[in-house]
Amino acid sequence: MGLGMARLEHRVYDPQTGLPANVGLHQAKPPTWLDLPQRLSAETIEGKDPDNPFGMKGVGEPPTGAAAAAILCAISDGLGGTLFNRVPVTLDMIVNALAGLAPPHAPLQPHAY
Amino acid sequence: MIIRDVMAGFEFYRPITRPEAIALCHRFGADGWKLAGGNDSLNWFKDRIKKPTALIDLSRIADLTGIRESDAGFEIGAMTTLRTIAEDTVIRGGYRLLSDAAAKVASPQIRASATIGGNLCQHARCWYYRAGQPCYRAGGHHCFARADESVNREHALFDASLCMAVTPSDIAPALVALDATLAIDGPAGPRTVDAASFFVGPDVDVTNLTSLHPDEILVAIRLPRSWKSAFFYFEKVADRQVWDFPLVNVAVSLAMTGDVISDARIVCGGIGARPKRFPDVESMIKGKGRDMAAAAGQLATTGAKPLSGNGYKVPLLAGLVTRALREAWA
Repeated sequence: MGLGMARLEHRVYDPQTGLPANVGLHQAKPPTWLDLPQRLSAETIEGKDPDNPFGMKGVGEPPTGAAAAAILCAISDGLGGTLFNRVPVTLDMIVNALAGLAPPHAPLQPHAY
Repeated sequence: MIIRDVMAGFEFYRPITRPEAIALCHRFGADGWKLAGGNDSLNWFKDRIKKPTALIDLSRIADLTGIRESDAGFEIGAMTTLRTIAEDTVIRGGYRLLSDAAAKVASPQIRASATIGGNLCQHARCWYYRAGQPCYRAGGHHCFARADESVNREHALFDASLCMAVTPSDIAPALVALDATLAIDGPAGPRTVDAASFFVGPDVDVTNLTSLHPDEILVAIRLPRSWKSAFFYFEKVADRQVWDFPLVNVAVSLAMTGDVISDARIVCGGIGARPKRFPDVESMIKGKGRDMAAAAGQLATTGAKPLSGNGYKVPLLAGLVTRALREAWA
């Protein structure tokens, strides 16, 4: 979990037509078996959640953030410290960073509602 | 676009001989649809972007399947599955470039039913075109991929005229690099065409990626002996390791005399509507050693015109050509 979020899965809409660009599983690109690391290790640290009356924690979503962050840190480390500050970090972003080209995506901006 | 998973009605024909198939193709013309493996066809029908009046299933025509030795080399029936080609000992032995390329297409499940002919004749993957937009390729008067805000990371670097779509095939560059010829049969009788001229760019025909007429069928792929057991290299770069189309792929055949490259074919897919051959790079490295690889990679990018979102393909292309020339092995 979180591996597709870090590297592949994206919601892309076309500004001209408003259409979703990646429909279907082959364009949305969830990771396949060969996109997973050969060795995966995960550990849990048990502890009560003080904000929950029974001390319980969710186990569904929280691992996605942790796994994605681990992969993004590894990519940044491999590139000598380039920070993308977003998910997913796709192949084209890595090639652009290595070649010193300007990224095609806009810099992060605060929401201004 | 909105209606999915419900196909429009069509007639279904399953000819068992080649003349019957050609007669059907001739009868329906552009309203007929030749069905090979059916892996891509069903998407078009379910999305209701293509609505043929008749499907002509070629799967029961016996002489379109199989790998045979011929006088000139080897002949692969157009309806041979990609798995058969990837696993065939003769192809793996003499034309490993083709078996490597076939092994990289889609996923094992798809390769079991997808055919080489279907792979070569598939339509462009440009998502605007596949979403049913009225673009040049769909007979309209606009290209949605060339604006600055377009979603065009998978579009063309070279030879784009009107349309920016690229060839999606992994097999096509390998065939061009092997000097293959394609055997076609039609109402006017059989003809053969070089792999390099079978594929056409938008400057020739903006609505088709191949020169196959609607009333013709692709019969076989012929591999000449000239490149048998040469030095080969195939690599495909895609977002995923399996079940994905290439962002850029490279197919290289090298004839080596000792450490010297005596002849070369360098062909890349995913950067133009046709598999792009690099004659300048081929003539530069001819008579030289593999130390020219990096310079060759740089030369390959000459004339590239990146769009707003596909600039990464330029260094990717240079790197792939360089690596192919360094790593090609017999």
